[in-house]
Amino acid sequence: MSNGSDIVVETKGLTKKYGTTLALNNVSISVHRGEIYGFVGRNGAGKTTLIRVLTGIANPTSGSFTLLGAATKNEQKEARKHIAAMVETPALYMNMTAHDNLRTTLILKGLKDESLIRSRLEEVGLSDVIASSKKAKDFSLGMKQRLGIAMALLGDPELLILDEPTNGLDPEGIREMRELLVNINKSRNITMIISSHILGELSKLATRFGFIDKGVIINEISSDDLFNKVSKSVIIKTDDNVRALAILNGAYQNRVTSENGSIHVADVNNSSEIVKLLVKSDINVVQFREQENGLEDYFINLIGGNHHD
Amino acid sequence: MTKLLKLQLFRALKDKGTIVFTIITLVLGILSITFNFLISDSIGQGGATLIGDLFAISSLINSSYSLSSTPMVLLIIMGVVLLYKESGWGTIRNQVVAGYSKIQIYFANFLAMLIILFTILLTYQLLTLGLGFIFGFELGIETAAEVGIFFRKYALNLVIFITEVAFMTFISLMFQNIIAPVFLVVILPIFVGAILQTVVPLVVILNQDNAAQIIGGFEYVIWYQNTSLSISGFTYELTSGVGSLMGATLYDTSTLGFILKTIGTNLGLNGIFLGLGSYLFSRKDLK
Repeated sequence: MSNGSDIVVETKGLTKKYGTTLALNNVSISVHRGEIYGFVGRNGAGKTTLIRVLTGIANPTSGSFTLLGAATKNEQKEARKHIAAMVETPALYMNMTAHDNLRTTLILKGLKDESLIRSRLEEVGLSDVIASSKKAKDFSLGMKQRLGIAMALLGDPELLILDEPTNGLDPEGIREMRELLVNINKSRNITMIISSHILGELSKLATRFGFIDKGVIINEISSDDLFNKVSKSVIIKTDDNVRALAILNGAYQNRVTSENGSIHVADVNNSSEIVKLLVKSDINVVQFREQENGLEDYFINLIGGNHHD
Repeated sequence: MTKLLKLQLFRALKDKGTIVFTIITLVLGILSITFNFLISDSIGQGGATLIGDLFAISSLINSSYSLSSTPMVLLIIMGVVLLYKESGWGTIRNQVVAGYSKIQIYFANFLAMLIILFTILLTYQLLTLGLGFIFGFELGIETAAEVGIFFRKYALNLVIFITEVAFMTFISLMFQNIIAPVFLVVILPIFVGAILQTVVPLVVILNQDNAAQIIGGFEYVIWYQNTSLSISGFTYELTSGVGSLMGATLYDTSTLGFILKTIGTNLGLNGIFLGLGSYLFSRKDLK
Protein backbone atom coordinates (compact mmCIF):
# COMPACT_ATOMS: atom_id res chain seq x y z
CA MET A 1 0.00 0.00 0.00
CA SER A 2 3.05 2.24 0.10
CA ASN A 3 1.89 5.48 -1.50
CA GLY A 4 5.38 6.77 -2.04
CA SER A 5 4.71 9.64 0.32
CA ASP A 6 6.80 10.21 3.40
CA ILE A 7 3.71 11.07 5.40
CA VAL A 8 1.87 8.04 6.77
CA VAL A 9 -0.74 9.86 8.85
CA GLU A 10 -1.80 13.46 8.57
CA THR A 11 -4.70 15.06 10.39
CA LYS A 12 -6.10 18.49 9.60
CA GLY A 13 -8.34 20.27 12.08
CA LEU A 14 -9.69 17.01 13.45
CA THR A 15 -12.43 17.61 15.98
CA LYS A 16 -14.48 15.14 17.99
CA LYS A 17 -17.32 16.06 20.29
CA TYR A 18 -19.09 13.79 22.77
CA GLY A 19 -22.23 15.73 23.57
CA THR A 20 -20.91 19.08 24.72
CA THR A 21 -17.46 17.71 25.58
CA LEU A 22 -14.75 18.56 23.10
CA ALA A 23 -12.51 15.48 23.14
CA LEU A 24 -10.43 16.62 20.15
CA ASN A 25 -10.13 20.25 19.22
CA ASN A 26 -8.78 21.08 15.79
CA VAL A 27 -6.01 18.49 15.94
CA SER A 28 -3.38 18.63 13.21
CA ILE A 29 -0.45 16.23 13.33
CA SER A 30 1.72 14.39 10.86
CA VAL A 31 3.50 11.08 11.23
CA HIS A 32 6.33 10.22 8.85
CA ARG A 33 7.33 6.83 7.48
CA GLY A 34 9.61 4.83 9.77
CA GLU A 35 8.98 7.02 12.79
CA ILE A 36 7.99 5.92 16.25
CA TYR A 37 5.59 8.71 17.06
CA GLY A 38 5.15 9.14 20.80
CA PHE A 39 1.73 10.57 21.54
CA VAL A 40 1.86 12.05 25.01
CA GLY A 41 -0.87 13.44 27.21
CA ARG A 42 -2.45 13.02 30.59
CA ASN A 43 -5.32 10.60 31.12
CA GLY A 44 -8.36 12.01 29.33
CA ALA A 45 -6.29 14.39 27.20
CA GLY A 46 -7.63 12.97 23.93
CA LYS A 47 -5.00 10.38 22.96
CA THR A 48 -7.37 7.43 22.75
CA THR A 49 -10.02 9.52 20.99
CA LEU A 50 -7.59 10.44 18.22
CA ILE A 51 -6.55 6.80 17.86
CA ARG A 52 -10.20 5.71 17.78
CA VAL A 53 -10.88 8.20 14.99
CA LEU A 54 -7.81 7.17 12.98
CA THR A 55 -8.71 3.49 13.25
CA GLY A 56 -12.34 4.08 12.23
CA ILE A 57 -13.78 2.99 15.57
CA ALA A 58 -15.17 6.50 16.11
CA ASN A 59 -16.30 9.04 13.55
CA PRO A 60 -14.85 12.56 13.65
CA THR A 61 -17.22 15.47 14.17
CA SER A 62 -15.25 17.62 11.72
CA GLY A 63 -11.85 17.88 10.11
CA SER A 64 -10.05 15.42 7.88
CA PHE A 65 -7.17 12.98 7.89
CA THR A 66 -5.19 10.81 5.54
CA LEU A 67 -4.03 7.27 6.21
CA LEU A 68 -1.19 6.01 4.01
CA GLY A 69 -2.26 8.76 1.62
CA ALA A 70 -5.92 7.70 1.61
CA ALA A 71 -8.30 10.60 2.13
CA THR A 72 -11.81 9.33 1.39
CA LYS A 73 -13.75 6.90 3.58
CA ASN A 74 -13.58 4.14 0.98
CA GLU A 75 -9.86 4.65 0.37
CA GLN A 76 -9.25 4.63 4.12
CA LYS A 77 -11.16 1.38 4.44
CA GLU A 78 -8.69 -0.14 1.98
CA ALA A 79 -5.73 1.56 3.69
CA ARG A 80 -6.73 0.02 7.01
CA LYS A 81 -5.88 -3.39 5.56
CA HIS A 82 -2.26 -2.25 5.91
CA ILE A 83 -2.70 -0.89 9.41
CA ALA A 84 -2.87 -2.68 12.72
CA ALA A 85 -3.90 -1.26 16.04
CA MET A 86 -4.33 -2.12 19.66
CA VAL A 87 -6.78 0.37 21.13
CA GLU A 88 -7.14 0.65 24.91
CA THR A 89 -6.99 -3.00 25.98
CA PRO A 90 -5.97 -5.84 23.65
CA ALA A 91 -9.14 -6.95 21.84
CA LEU A 92 -8.96 -10.71 22.34
CA TYR A 93 -11.47 -13.52 22.21
CA MET A 94 -11.13 -14.42 25.86
CA ASN A 95 -12.65 -17.88 25.39
CA MET A 96 -10.05 -18.84 22.80
CA THR A 97 -6.42 -19.94 22.93
CA ALA A 98 -3.62 -17.74 21.62
CA HIS A 99 -3.50 -19.90 18.49
CA ASP A 100 -7.24 -19.50 17.82
CA ASN A 101 -7.08 -15.76 18.47
CA LEU A 102 -4.46 -15.48 15.75
CA ARG A 103 -6.61 -17.65 13.50
CA THR A 104 -9.40 -15.09 13.78
CA THR A 105 -6.99 -12.49 12.42
CA LEU A 106 -5.91 -14.85 9.64
CA ILE A 107 -9.58 -15.27 8.68
CA LEU A 108 -10.21 -11.50 8.83
CA LYS A 109 -7.21 -10.75 6.64
CA GLY A 110 -7.87 -13.65 4.30
CA LEU A 111 -4.47 -15.24 4.96
CA LYS A 112 -4.01 -18.98 4.44
CA ASP A 113 -0.51 -19.55 5.81
CA GLU A 114 -1.06 -21.00 9.29
CA SER A 115 2.69 -21.09 9.94
CA LEU A 116 2.44 -17.32 10.44
CA ILE A 117 0.73 -18.02 13.76
CA ARG A 118 3.77 -19.80 15.17
CA SER A 119 6.24 -17.24 13.86
CA ARG A 120 4.31 -14.26 15.25
CA LEU A 121 3.86 -15.88 18.64
CA GLU A 122 7.60 -16.63 18.73
CA GLU A 123 8.37 -13.06 17.69
CA VAL A 124 6.49 -11.61 20.65
CA GLY A 125 7.91 -14.13 23.11
CA LEU A 126 4.83 -16.31 23.47
CA SER A 127 6.37 -19.58 22.25
CA ASP A 128 5.12 -21.29 25.40
CA VAL A 129 1.48 -20.94 24.43
CA ILE A 130 1.69 -21.98 20.77
CA ALA A 131 0.24 -25.42 21.45
CA SER A 132 -1.29 -24.61 24.82
CA SER A 133 -4.98 -25.02 25.59
CA LYS A 134 -4.80 -22.05 27.97
CA LYS A 135 -7.50 -19.49 27.15
CA ALA A 136 -6.70 -15.79 26.70
CA LYS A 137 -8.80 -14.94 29.78
CA ASP A 138 -6.24 -16.81 31.89
CA PHE A 139 -3.25 -14.89 30.48
CA SER A 140 -1.40 -12.26 32.50
CA LEU A 141 -1.81 -8.66 31.34
CA GLY A 142 1.66 -8.74 29.80
CA MET A 143 0.81 -11.89 27.85
CA LYS A 144 -2.45 -10.33 26.65
CA GLN A 145 -0.55 -7.26 25.43
CA ARG A 146 1.95 -9.48 23.62
CA LEU A 147 -0.83 -11.55 22.07
CA GLY A 148 -2.54 -8.34 20.93
CA ILE A 149 0.71 -7.26 19.26
CA ALA A 150 1.16 -10.71 17.65
CA MET A 151 -2.34 -10.39 16.17
CA ALA A 152 -1.52 -6.89 14.98
CA LEU A 153 1.64 -8.07 13.25
CA LEU A 154 -0.17 -10.66 11.13
CA GLY A 155 -0.45 -9.36 7.61
CA ASP A 156 2.72 -7.27 7.88
CA PRO A 157 1.20 -3.84 8.56
CA GLU A 158 2.90 -0.65 7.44
CA LEU A 159 1.56 1.26 10.41
CA LEU A 160 1.12 -0.01 13.95
CA ILE A 161 -0.98 2.05 16.36
CA LEU A 162 -0.68 1.15 20.02
CA ASP A 163 -2.68 2.84 22.72
CA GLU A 164 -0.88 2.75 26.08
CA PRO A 165 0.74 -0.65 25.41
CA THR A 166 2.57 -0.63 28.73
CA ASN A 167 -0.46 0.29 30.81
CA GLY A 168 -0.68 -1.89 33.90
CA LEU A 169 2.65 -3.66 33.29
CA ASP A 170 5.28 -3.99 35.99
CA PRO A 171 8.71 -2.36 35.41
CA GLU A 172 10.14 -5.58 33.99
CA GLY A 173 7.14 -5.93 31.69
CA ILE A 174 7.52 -2.32 30.56
CA ARG A 175 11.19 -2.89 29.73
CA GLU A 176 10.39 -6.08 27.79
CA MET A 177 7.58 -4.37 25.88
CA ARG A 178 9.86 -1.44 25.01
CA GLU A 179 12.55 -3.79 23.69
CA LEU A 180 9.95 -5.71 21.70
CA LEU A 181 8.62 -2.55 20.06
CA VAL A 182 12.08 -1.24 19.21
CA ASN A 183 12.95 -4.62 17.67
CA ILE A 184 9.76 -4.64 15.61
CA ASN A 185 10.38 -1.09 14.42
CA LYS A 186 13.95 -1.90 13.40
CA SER A 187 13.44 -5.37 11.94
CA ARG A 188 10.28 -4.59 10.01
CA ASN A 189 10.62 -0.85 9.47
CA ILE A 190 7.04 -0.37 10.67
CA THR A 191 5.89 3.15 11.41
CA MET A 192 4.42 3.30 14.89
CA ILE A 193 2.16 5.59 16.83
CA ILE A 194 2.38 4.85 20.53
CA SER A 195 0.42 6.73 23.14
CA SER A 196 1.31 7.09 26.79
CA HIS A 197 0.74 9.44 29.67
CA ILE A 198 4.34 8.93 30.80
CA LEU A 199 6.82 10.90 28.74
CA GLY A 200 9.82 9.25 30.39
CA GLU A 201 8.62 5.90 29.15
CA LEU A 202 8.22 7.03 25.56
CA SER A 203 11.45 9.03 25.58
CA LYS A 204 13.41 5.77 25.39
CA LEU A 205 11.48 4.68 22.35
CA ALA A 206 10.00 7.48 20.25
CA THR A 207 11.73 9.39 17.50
CA ARG A 208 9.16 12.17 17.49
CA PHE A 209 6.58 13.39 19.95
CA GLY A 210 3.16 14.95 19.84
CA PHE A 211 1.86 16.48 23.06
CA ILE A 212 -1.87 16.74 23.61
CA ASP A 213 -3.84 18.35 26.41
CA LYS A 214 -7.58 18.89 26.70
CA GLY A 215 -7.98 17.74 23.11
CA VAL A 216 -5.51 20.29 21.75
CA ILE A 217 -2.11 19.49 20.25
CA ILE A 218 0.26 21.76 22.10
CA ASN A 219 3.54 20.74 20.52
CA GLU A 220 5.14 18.39 18.02
CA ILE A 221 8.85 17.90 18.44
CA SER A 222 11.57 15.50 17.35
CA SER A 223 13.37 13.38 19.90
CA ASP A 224 16.67 15.26 19.32
CA ASP A 225 15.01 18.64 19.76
CA LEU A 226 13.27 17.44 22.90
CA PHE A 227 16.50 16.32 24.50
CA ASN A 228 18.17 19.57 23.50
CA LYS A 229 15.42 21.48 25.22
CA VAL A 230 15.46 19.30 28.29
CA SER A 231 18.40 20.19 30.49
CA LYS A 232 20.18 17.89 32.86
CA SER A 233 20.87 18.31 36.54
CA VAL A 234 24.21 17.37 38.08
CA ILE A 235 24.65 16.21 41.66
CA ILE A 236 28.22 16.26 43.00
CA LYS A 237 30.14 15.72 46.20
CA THR A 238 33.65 17.15 46.62
CA ASP A 239 36.41 17.15 49.23
CA ASP A 240 35.74 20.89 49.76
CA ASN A 241 32.08 21.66 49.30
CA VAL A 242 32.30 25.21 50.69
CA ARG A 243 34.84 26.34 48.08
CA ALA A 244 33.15 24.31 45.32
CA LEU A 245 29.81 25.98 46.11
CA ALA A 246 31.38 29.42 45.82
CA ILE A 247 33.06 28.61 42.49
CA LEU A 248 29.95 27.01 40.99
CA ASN A 249 27.73 29.86 42.21
CA GLY A 250 29.96 32.21 40.27
CA ALA A 251 29.72 30.13 37.09
CA TYR A 252 26.08 28.95 37.31
CA GLN A 253 24.23 31.80 38.97
CA ASN A 254 20.97 30.95 40.70
CA ARG A 255 21.17 27.35 39.61
CA VAL A 256 23.26 25.93 42.43
CA THR A 257 21.92 24.60 45.71
CA SER A 258 23.45 22.60 48.51
CA GLU A 259 21.67 19.92 50.42
CA ASN A 260 22.75 17.04 52.69
CA GLY A 261 26.41 17.39 51.74
CA SER A 262 25.70 17.37 47.98
CA ILE A 263 25.79 20.21 45.48
CA HIS A 264 22.97 20.32 42.96
CA VAL A 265 23.46 22.22 39.69
CA ALA A 266 20.31 22.61 37.58
CA ASP A 267 19.92 23.20 33.82
CA VAL A 268 23.33 21.95 32.78
CA ASN A 269 24.04 21.52 29.09
CA ASN A 270 27.61 20.29 29.35
CA SER A 271 28.28 18.51 32.62
CA SER A 272 31.98 17.90 31.93
CA GLU A 273 32.54 21.68 32.20
CA ILE A 274 31.64 21.47 35.91
CA VAL A 275 34.27 18.79 36.54
CA LYS A 276 36.91 20.73 34.60
CA LEU A 277 36.16 23.90 36.57
CA LEU A 278 36.50 22.16 39.94
CA VAL A 279 39.62 20.20 39.02
CA LYS A 280 41.21 23.43 37.79
CA SER A 281 40.62 24.88 41.27
CA ASP A 282 42.25 21.82 42.91
CA ILE A 283 38.97 20.45 44.23
CA ASN A 284 38.54 16.70 44.04
CA VAL A 285 35.18 15.42 42.85
CA VAL A 286 34.20 12.51 45.11
CA GLN A 287 30.83 11.74 43.57
CA PHE A 288 29.25 12.79 40.28
CA ARG A 289 25.77 11.98 39.00
CA GLU A 290 23.72 13.27 36.08
CA GLN A 291 19.96 13.36 36.34
CA GLU A 292 17.61 13.78 33.38
CA ASN A 293 14.68 14.85 35.44
CA GLY A 294 13.71 17.57 33.04
CA LEU A 295 11.45 15.41 30.82
CA GLU A 296 8.48 15.40 33.12
CA ASP A 297 9.15 19.07 34.02
CA TYR A 298 9.13 19.89 30.33
CA PHE A 299 5.83 18.07 29.92
CA ILE A 300 4.24 19.75 32.95
CA ASN A 301 5.42 23.19 31.80
CA LEU A 302 4.03 22.46 28.36
CA ILE A 303 0.57 21.64 29.63
CA GLY A 304 0.56 24.72 31.80
CA GLY A 305 1.88 23.90 35.22
CA ASN A 306 0.31 22.03 38.02
CA HIS A 307 -3.30 21.80 37.01
CA HIS A 308 -4.97 18.48 37.50
CA ASP A 309 -8.09 16.70 36.21
CA MET B 1 -18.06 -9.99 3.75
CA THR B 2 -17.40 -13.73 3.34
CA LYS B 3 -14.41 -13.42 5.64
CA LEU B 4 -16.49 -11.64 8.26
CA LEU B 5 -19.15 -14.33 8.01
CA LYS B 6 -16.50 -17.04 8.31
CA LEU B 7 -15.10 -15.32 11.39
CA GLN B 8 -18.54 -15.20 13.02
CA LEU B 9 -19.13 -18.89 12.34
CA PHE B 10 -15.65 -19.78 13.59
CA ARG B 11 -16.13 -17.93 16.86
CA ALA B 12 -19.58 -19.46 17.35
CA LEU B 13 -18.09 -22.93 16.99
CA LYS B 14 -15.45 -22.05 19.58
CA ASP B 15 -17.97 -20.59 22.00
CA LYS B 16 -18.82 -22.82 24.93
CA GLY B 17 -22.01 -20.87 25.61
CA THR B 18 -23.28 -21.55 22.08
CA ILE B 19 -22.52 -25.25 22.40
CA VAL B 20 -24.26 -25.44 25.81
CA PHE B 21 -27.34 -23.55 24.53
CA THR B 22 -27.48 -25.84 21.47
CA ILE B 23 -27.32 -28.97 23.60
CA ILE B 24 -29.98 -27.64 26.01
CA THR B 25 -32.26 -26.73 23.08
CA LEU B 26 -31.90 -30.17 21.50
CA VAL B 27 -32.37 -31.97 24.82
CA LEU B 28 -35.53 -29.92 25.38
CA GLY B 29 -36.71 -31.03 21.94
CA ILE B 30 -36.20 -34.66 22.93
CA LEU B 31 -37.91 -34.11 26.29
CA SER B 32 -40.79 -32.21 24.71
CA ILE B 33 -41.72 -34.93 22.25
CA THR B 34 -41.12 -37.65 24.83
CA PHE B 35 -43.37 -35.80 27.28
CA ASN B 36 -46.05 -35.42 24.61
CA PHE B 37 -45.73 -39.13 23.80
CA LEU B 38 -46.16 -40.06 27.47
CA ILE B 39 -49.31 -37.91 27.77
CA SER B 40 -50.68 -39.26 24.53
CA ASP B 41 -49.88 -42.80 25.65
CA SER B 42 -51.53 -42.33 29.05
CA ILE B 43 -54.70 -41.05 27.37
CA GLY B 44 -54.81 -44.20 25.29
CA GLN B 45 -55.41 -45.10 21.70
CA GLY B 46 -57.95 -42.36 21.15
CA GLY B 47 -55.72 -39.74 22.73
CA ALA B 48 -54.38 -38.20 19.59
CA THR B 49 -57.79 -38.00 18.02
CA LEU B 50 -59.30 -36.62 21.22
CA ILE B 51 -56.83 -33.83 21.65
CA GLY B 52 -56.76 -33.04 17.98
CA ASP B 53 -53.56 -32.08 16.29
CA LEU B 54 -51.79 -30.81 19.41
CA PHE B 55 -49.64 -33.93 19.21
CA ALA B 56 -49.20 -33.82 15.47
CA ILE B 57 -45.57 -33.44 14.43
CA SER B 58 -46.39 -30.60 12.03
CA SER B 59 -47.83 -28.67 14.95
CA LEU B 60 -44.72 -29.17 17.08
CA ILE B 61 -42.49 -28.05 14.24
CA ASN B 62 -44.51 -24.90 13.65
CA SER B 63 -44.70 -24.04 17.34
CA SER B 64 -40.90 -24.17 17.65
CA TYR B 65 -40.76 -20.82 15.78
CA SER B 66 -42.85 -19.03 18.34
CA LEU B 67 -40.94 -16.46 20.35
CA SER B 68 -42.84 -17.67 23.39
CA SER B 69 -41.70 -21.25 22.82
CA THR B 70 -38.75 -22.51 24.82
CA PRO B 71 -36.34 -23.27 21.94
CA MET B 72 -36.87 -19.86 20.38
CA VAL B 73 -36.35 -18.06 23.70
CA LEU B 74 -33.14 -20.01 24.26
CA LEU B 75 -31.89 -19.32 20.75
CA ILE B 76 -32.60 -15.61 20.94
CA ILE B 77 -30.83 -15.34 24.30
CA MET B 78 -27.93 -17.31 22.86
CA GLY B 79 -27.78 -14.96 19.87
CA VAL B 80 -27.88 -11.86 22.08
CA VAL B 81 -25.06 -13.20 24.25
CA LEU B 82 -23.00 -14.17 21.20
CA LEU B 83 -23.42 -10.73 19.66
CA TYR B 84 -22.67 -8.98 22.95
CA LYS B 85 -19.37 -10.81 23.43
CA GLU B 86 -17.86 -8.98 20.44
CA SER B 87 -18.65 -5.62 22.04
CA GLY B 88 -17.78 -6.78 25.55
CA TRP B 89 -14.33 -8.02 24.56
CA GLY B 90 -13.82 -5.22 22.06
CA THR B 91 -13.08 -7.71 19.28
CA ILE B 92 -15.60 -5.96 17.02
CA ARG B 93 -13.01 -3.16 16.86
CA ASN B 94 -10.55 -5.58 15.20
CA GLN B 95 -12.93 -5.88 12.25
CA VAL B 96 -13.09 -2.09 11.73
CA VAL B 97 -9.33 -1.76 12.12
CA ALA B 98 -8.88 -4.58 9.57
CA GLY B 99 -10.66 -2.46 6.97
CA TYR B 100 -14.28 -3.59 7.09
CA SER B 101 -17.04 -1.03 7.07
CA LYS B 102 -19.52 -0.99 9.93
CA ILE B 103 -22.29 -1.75 7.42
CA GLN B 104 -20.47 -4.92 6.35
CA ILE B 105 -20.01 -5.86 10.02
CA TYR B 106 -23.70 -5.25 10.71
CA PHE B 107 -24.85 -7.50 7.85
CA ALA B 108 -22.26 -10.18 8.63
CA ASN B 109 -23.55 -10.35 12.20
CA PHE B 110 -27.14 -10.58 10.99
CA LEU B 111 -26.40 -13.30 8.42
CA ALA B 112 -24.25 -15.26 10.87
CA MET B 113 -27.00 -15.20 13.49
CA LEU B 114 -29.54 -16.25 10.86
CA ILE B 115 -27.39 -19.20 9.77
CA ILE B 116 -26.43 -20.28 13.30
CA LEU B 117 -29.89 -19.97 14.85
CA PHE B 118 -31.69 -21.52 11.89
CA THR B 119 -29.26 -24.45 11.79
CA ILE B 120 -29.92 -25.20 15.45
CA LEU B 121 -33.67 -24.74 15.00
CA LEU B 122 -33.71 -26.98 11.95
CA THR B 123 -31.78 -29.63 13.89
CA TYR B 124 -34.36 -29.30 16.67
CA GLN B 125 -37.18 -29.72 14.16
CA LEU B 126 -35.59 -32.69 12.39
CA LEU B 127 -34.95 -34.30 15.78
CA THR B 128 -38.58 -33.73 16.72
CA LEU B 129 -39.71 -35.11 13.38
CA GLY B 130 -37.52 -38.22 13.68
CA LEU B 131 -38.49 -38.97 17.26
CA GLY B 132 -42.13 -38.27 16.43
CA PHE B 133 -42.05 -40.95 13.77
CA ILE B 134 -40.32 -43.38 16.12
CA PHE B 135 -42.96 -42.73 18.78
CA GLY B 136 -45.68 -43.31 16.20
CA PHE B 137 -47.13 -39.81 16.12
CA GLU B 138 -49.23 -38.75 13.23
CA LEU B 139 -47.61 -36.22 10.94
CA GLY B 140 -50.76 -34.13 10.94
CA ILE B 141 -50.57 -33.66 7.20
CA GLU B 142 -52.47 -36.00 4.97
CA THR B 143 -53.93 -34.28 1.96
CA ALA B 144 -52.18 -32.22 -0.67
CA ALA B 145 -54.05 -29.17 0.62
CA GLU B 146 -52.67 -29.75 4.12
CA VAL B 147 -49.15 -30.05 2.73
CA GLY B 148 -49.66 -26.69 1.06
CA ILE B 149 -50.96 -25.13 4.26
CA PHE B 150 -48.05 -26.54 6.27
CA PHE B 151 -45.43 -25.14 3.95
CA ARG B 152 -47.23 -21.82 3.73
CA LYS B 153 -47.22 -21.58 7.51
CA TYR B 154 -43.61 -22.72 7.59
CA ALA B 155 -42.66 -20.04 5.07
CA LEU B 156 -44.56 -17.37 7.00
CA ASN B 157 -42.90 -18.48 10.22
CA LEU B 158 -39.56 -18.28 8.46
CA VAL B 159 -40.30 -14.70 7.42
CA ILE B 160 -41.14 -13.82 11.03
CA PHE B 161 -38.04 -15.68 12.23
CA ILE B 162 -35.89 -13.51 9.93
CA THR B 163 -37.54 -10.40 11.39
CA GLU B 164 -36.82 -11.61 14.93
CA VAL B 165 -33.15 -12.15 14.08
CA ALA B 166 -32.99 -8.73 12.38
CA PHE B 167 -34.58 -7.13 15.46
CA MET B 168 -32.17 -8.98 17.77
CA THR B 169 -29.18 -7.85 15.66
CA PHE B 170 -30.45 -4.26 15.60
CA ILE B 171 -30.97 -3.99 19.35
CA SER B 172 -27.77 -5.87 20.24
CA LEU B 173 -25.50 -3.81 18.00
CA MET B 174 -27.14 -0.48 18.77
CA PHE B 175 -26.95 -0.92 22.53
CA GLN B 176 -23.67 -2.85 22.68
CA ASN B 177 -24.60 -4.26 26.06
CA ILE B 178 -26.50 -7.30 27.22
CA ILE B 179 -29.29 -6.04 29.46
CA ALA B 180 -31.16 -3.95 26.88
CA PRO B 181 -31.28 -6.71 24.22
CA VAL B 182 -32.39 -9.40 26.67
CA PHE B 183 -35.12 -7.09 27.94
CA LEU B 184 -36.24 -5.64 24.62
CA VAL B 185 -35.87 -8.73 22.46
CA VAL B 186 -36.88 -11.51 24.82
CA ILE B 187 -38.72 -10.41 27.94
CA LEU B 188 -40.78 -7.50 26.61
CA PRO B 189 -42.22 -9.24 23.50
CA ILE B 190 -43.19 -12.32 25.49
CA PHE B 191 -44.71 -10.20 28.25
CA VAL B 192 -46.59 -7.94 25.86
CA GLY B 193 -47.56 -10.93 23.71
CA ALA B 194 -49.01 -12.74 26.71
CA ILE B 195 -51.03 -9.68 27.74
CA LEU B 196 -52.28 -9.02 24.21
CA GLN B 197 -53.32 -12.63 23.75
CA THR B 198 -55.66 -12.20 26.66
CA VAL B 199 -56.67 -8.58 26.25
CA VAL B 200 -57.29 -8.50 22.47
CA PRO B 201 -59.83 -11.35 22.39
CA LEU B 202 -61.66 -9.83 25.35
CA VAL B 203 -61.79 -6.43 23.67
CA VAL B 204 -62.97 -8.06 20.46
CA ILE B 205 -65.65 -10.10 22.17
CA LEU B 206 -66.93 -7.03 24.00
CA ASN B 207 -66.91 -4.97 20.79
CA GLN B 208 -67.90 -7.49 18.19
CA ASP B 209 -69.20 -4.79 15.85
CA ASN B 210 -65.69 -3.35 15.51
CA ALA B 211 -63.83 -6.65 15.69
CA ALA B 212 -62.35 -6.42 12.23
CA GLN B 213 -60.86 -2.95 12.85
CA ILE B 214 -59.45 -3.90 16.25
CA ILE B 215 -57.85 -7.05 14.95
CA GLY B 216 -56.62 -5.25 11.84
CA GLY B 217 -54.88 -2.71 14.02
CA PHE B 218 -53.27 -5.28 16.25
CA GLU B 219 -52.04 -7.36 13.34
CA TYR B 220 -49.56 -4.61 12.59
CA VAL B 221 -48.79 -3.83 16.20
CA ILE B 222 -47.95 -7.42 17.02
CA TRP B 223 -45.23 -7.90 14.51
CA TYR B 224 -44.18 -11.09 16.23
CA GLN B 225 -47.42 -12.69 15.08
CA ASN B 226 -45.69 -16.00 15.39
CA THR B 227 -47.37 -16.49 18.73
CA SER B 228 -50.61 -16.81 16.81
CA LEU B 229 -49.23 -18.44 13.69
CA SER B 230 -47.65 -21.22 15.65
CA ILE B 231 -50.96 -22.39 17.02
CA SER B 232 -52.02 -25.10 14.67
CA GLY B 233 -55.78 -24.52 14.49
CA PHE B 234 -56.49 -21.88 11.90
CA THR B 235 -59.66 -20.69 13.50
CA TYR B 236 -58.56 -19.28 16.82
CA GLU B 237 -55.55 -17.16 16.04
CA LEU B 238 -55.02 -14.48 18.66
CA THR B 239 -57.85 -15.97 20.68
CA SER B 240 -56.08 -18.80 22.44
CA GLY B 241 -57.86 -19.33 25.73
CA VAL B 242 -60.79 -16.96 25.89
CA GLY B 243 -61.48 -16.61 22.17
CA SER B 244 -61.49 -20.29 21.38
CA LEU B 245 -63.77 -21.06 24.32
CA MET B 246 -66.20 -18.43 23.10
CA GLY B 247 -66.02 -19.93 19.62
CA ALA B 248 -64.83 -16.66 18.12
CA THR B 249 -63.00 -16.65 14.82
CA LEU B 250 -60.96 -13.50 14.62
CA TYR B 251 -58.94 -13.85 11.51
CA ASP B 252 -57.92 -16.67 9.31
CA THR B 253 -54.23 -17.16 8.64
CA SER B 254 -55.01 -19.21 5.56
CA THR B 255 -56.41 -16.21 3.70
CA LEU B 256 -54.36 -14.42 1.08
CA GLY B 257 -55.01 -11.12 2.82
CA PHE B 258 -53.41 -12.31 6.04
CA ILE B 259 -50.46 -13.81 4.22
CA LEU B 260 -49.81 -10.64 2.26
CA LYS B 261 -50.17 -8.47 5.35
CA THR B 262 -47.76 -10.68 7.28
CA ILE B 263 -45.21 -10.62 4.47
CA GLY B 264 -45.67 -6.88 3.98
CA THR B 265 -45.36 -6.07 7.67
CA ASN B 266 -42.27 -8.19 8.03
CA LEU B 267 -40.63 -6.84 4.89
CA GLY B 268 -41.19 -3.35 6.23
CA LEU B 269 -39.77 -4.25 9.61
CA ASN B 270 -36.77 -5.95 8.02
CA GLY B 271 -36.23 -2.82 5.97
CA ILE B 272 -36.15 -0.78 9.16
CA PHE B 273 -33.99 -3.16 11.18
CA LEU B 274 -31.51 -3.87 8.39
CA GLY B 275 -31.56 -0.66 6.35
CA LEU B 276 -31.94 1.94 9.03
CA GLY B 277 -30.10 -0.24 11.57
CA SER B 278 -26.98 -0.61 9.42
CA TYR B 279 -27.03 3.12 8.59
CA LEU B 280 -27.28 4.13 12.26
CA PHE B 281 -24.63 1.59 13.20
CA SER B 282 -22.25 2.98 10.59
CA ARG B 283 -22.57 6.41 12.21
CA LYS B 284 -22.16 5.05 15.71
CA ASP B 285 -18.91 4.97 17.64
CA LEU B 286 -17.95 1.51 18.81
CA LYS B 287 -17.25 0.91 22.48
